[in-house]
This record gives sequence, structure tokens and C-alpha cells, in this order.
Amino acid sequence: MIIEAINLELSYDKKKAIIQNTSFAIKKRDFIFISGTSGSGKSTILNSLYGDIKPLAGQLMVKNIDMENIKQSQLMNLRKDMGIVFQDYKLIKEKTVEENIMLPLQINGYTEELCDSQATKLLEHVRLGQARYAYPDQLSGGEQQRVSVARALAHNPSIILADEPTGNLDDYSASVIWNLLKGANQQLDITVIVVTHRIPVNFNINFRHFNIDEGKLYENY
Amino acid sequence: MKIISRYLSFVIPLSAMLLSYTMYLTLYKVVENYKNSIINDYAIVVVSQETVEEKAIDKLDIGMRSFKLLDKDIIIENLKEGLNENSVKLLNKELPNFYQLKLIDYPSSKTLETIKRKLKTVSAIIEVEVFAKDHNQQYFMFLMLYDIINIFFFVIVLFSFLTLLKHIKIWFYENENRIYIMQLHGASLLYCSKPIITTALLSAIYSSIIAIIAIWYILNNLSIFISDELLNYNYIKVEFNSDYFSIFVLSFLISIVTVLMVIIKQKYEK
Repeated sequence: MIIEAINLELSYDKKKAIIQNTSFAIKKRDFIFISGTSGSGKSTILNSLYGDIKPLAGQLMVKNIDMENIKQSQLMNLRKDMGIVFQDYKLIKEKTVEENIMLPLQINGYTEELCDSQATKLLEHVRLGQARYAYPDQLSGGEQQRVSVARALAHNPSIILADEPTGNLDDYSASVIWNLLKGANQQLDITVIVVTHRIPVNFNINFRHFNIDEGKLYENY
Repeated sequence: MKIISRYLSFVIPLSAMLLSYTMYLTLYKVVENYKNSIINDYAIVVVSQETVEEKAIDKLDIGMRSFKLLDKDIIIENLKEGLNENSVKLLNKELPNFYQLKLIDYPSSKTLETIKRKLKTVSAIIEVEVFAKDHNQQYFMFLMLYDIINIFFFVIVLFSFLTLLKHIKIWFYENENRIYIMQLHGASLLYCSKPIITTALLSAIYSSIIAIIAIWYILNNLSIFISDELLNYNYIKVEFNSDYFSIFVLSFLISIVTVLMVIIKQKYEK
């Protein structure tokens, strides 16, 4: 299992648990959708997976690391093996598209040549070769999200976490993003976990769907 | 433009601090030179009935530079006015030995007391005159000068340090979002702080160069800054040879320590 939760409880203020007594297991190469109503705790689960919040109770293991007792250095290493996509893209606006894509590569210590060649490959992959030296503010929302996905794919991580990746996009841009995430899962064997309130129709790969109801995560079969 | 203002916010306080450091060094050296110049004129007078060997004084470990018997004839020459021949003869017979004791360093009032006490332990010595009143007046002036220099330097360092600290905090505040995104991708805080560390290091080099050029200019154009009257005194002329290195070290230390302090604070705040 790449991720395993047993009786997990999550909370932001360490008082009232948003996620209660939840257990789930995610295998390598799974494509997971987590859905639920607004404020149900979808993003809270995702935040706990990249260590932004610690479990209030129960156990959460990510790549065999106990997220409750994770050390700062372990967390940094874990994040180096993750790609994260947000609804608001979280691109660095002072950096060009190319520099944003290179960011995880540089953090992982890739050489300049490798960063450059990988960025070129990814820019072609997300069809943004012409925007290489543009700044995020000069791109549309769909293009910015493609940059964000390219950045998440750059260092070939084991896990991609996506929080409402198509929440701000039109249908065409959304379908491009879904195709990119599908490709990452199918061609690169990356485990993809997507939090969304809108599961795409005609999603023609095998996926697992979890739904949050009253603080608990249930799998829909 | 943003980068230039970031560099200026480092270079200006650092240069101010380094220039105040050079002023501190200059004043310190002038005072030291002055102390060395007046130590040549300062002497303790030791009076004894018997002959005192230089070795006996040297053993006392009082920082002796020279110990010389004063010529009796010269002393009598100064005293004989108004005396008859018999009195002069008697004076010549009864006059004790007067020695002039010179020291290596200019002593503090406390050291002077210790020297006097040690000299009196030599049985042949019957009197020691240290001219304490004159000495203490001059020594008090030195102490006051040192204190003023130290306070001035401390205040400038403190202000420069606080200014740097504020600029670094502002940088972290401005880059909060960028740091958060980088940390999401596994970057350490130190890695995220690379731009500000680079700025601090380069600013340390630029500030040192500015300070060294300023010193070089002042030393080569002393007449612009100091009155002609003062220029005649040798103790005004100071040299900075090995101090250029200390300027570099101080500049690097202050900038790096300040950046690291803010990084550590940021780390523990999170």
C-alpha cells in the first residue's frame, strides 16, 4: 500500500474532528477521486497526505511513513516525491513558466541540463512550448493549470495530489487537465488522488471513488 | 529595480556600520599612539639611600622599560641657588640616590598603585613618586575617550543590525507565498532563502569595498578632514594594513548572522 489510514481523525483546530474514524487504503497506480459537499473535509484529507496537518487520532501512513510522528527532513523528502496541483494553481508569479516547471527538479537537485531538457519535454507535453518565457499572469486559467500539472509531473513523482484541479476551468480546459492526469497514471504509473466535487463523465480508465459523508469516507463501488 | 533596492537596503546599513567601525579603529589607534607618545615623557622617580640594581627592579615584574640613576650634579645644580658652599657640600653628601623608572605601557591608576606598592617592597627604596595626580587626569581622559568610542560603535552596530533584521523580515513577508509553494515541493527553508543569503553575501563584499575605498581616500587626503595643526602630530597618522581583513570579516559576520537569525526564527515560528 502506498497510503494507508486506520481509524483516522483529522482536525484543523485539534478540537472538533472534521474527518472521523476513517479507514482506507490506496495502492500504487490507483486513480482516486474523493468527492463530497463543500466543507465536508475533502481538502483536509489531501492536506494530511502532504503533511500540512497531522492526524488528531488514528494512524496515517504515506509511503510507510507515519504522518503523526514525521520529522521535518522526512516530510521534505516525502514532498520531493509528490506532485501537487491546486485549484488556484499556486504558481510563483515572479518566475517564468519554464522556471515554475523546473522548480521541483531544482529542489530535487537535478543538473541544469536535465532541468532544461525535462522542461522542454513537459512544455511540449502540455502544449505550452510557445509560453516558455511567459509569466503566469500572462496566461489563461486553463494554461496556468497546465503549467501546474507539468510542474507536478516534472520530477516523475510516485504520487500526484490534486485539489479541485478543474474547479476554475471551462469544460475544454478541464478535459485537457483530466487527460494529462490520466496519462500520468496510465503511462507513468503515478498514483493520482483527486479531490473534486464534479467527477468527469466518460472517464474511460479504472478509478476508485470515495465519498465523504458526515465526516466519514466511504468507497463507492 | 526591486533587486537594486533589495541590495541597497543591505549595502547602506552595512556600509554605515563598517565606516563607523573604521572610525572606531582610527580613534582607537590615535589614542594608542598618543598613549605611546606620552609614555616616553612619563617616569616614576624612585629615591633610595643605597644603590638599587636594575635587576632588582626587573624582578618585580612591573613592565619596566628603563631604570636610570639621575646625575646628582644636575640635581644639585638645580637646588644650589641661595645655598652657601658648605651647604652644597653637605647636600652632596646627604642627597640620596634618585632613579628615573620608565615603563613599557601607559599604566592604569590601579596598576600604578600596584607598581608603587611593589617598589616599596625593595628595602633600599625609601620613597616612590608616581605623580599620580597628573597621571590620573590623563588616564581619565583616555578612559572617557575609549568609552565614547565604544558607545558610538555599539550604537551604530545595533542600528545597522536592527535595520538589516527589519529588511530581512520584510523579504520573508514579501516572499511568504513563494516560500510556501517551494516548501510544498520539498524545499527546506534554507533552500528557499537562497536569494536573501546571496544578497547578504554580495552586499557584504560591496560594503567592504565601499568602506576600504573610503578609508584609502581619507588616509590619502587627511588634510581635507583634519586641521593642519593636528597633522603635525605623529600620533594622528594611523595605518590600516591588517584591518582591511577585519572589515571584510565583520561585514560577512553581521550579514550572515542576521540572515541566519531570521531563518532560524522563521523555522521555529512554523
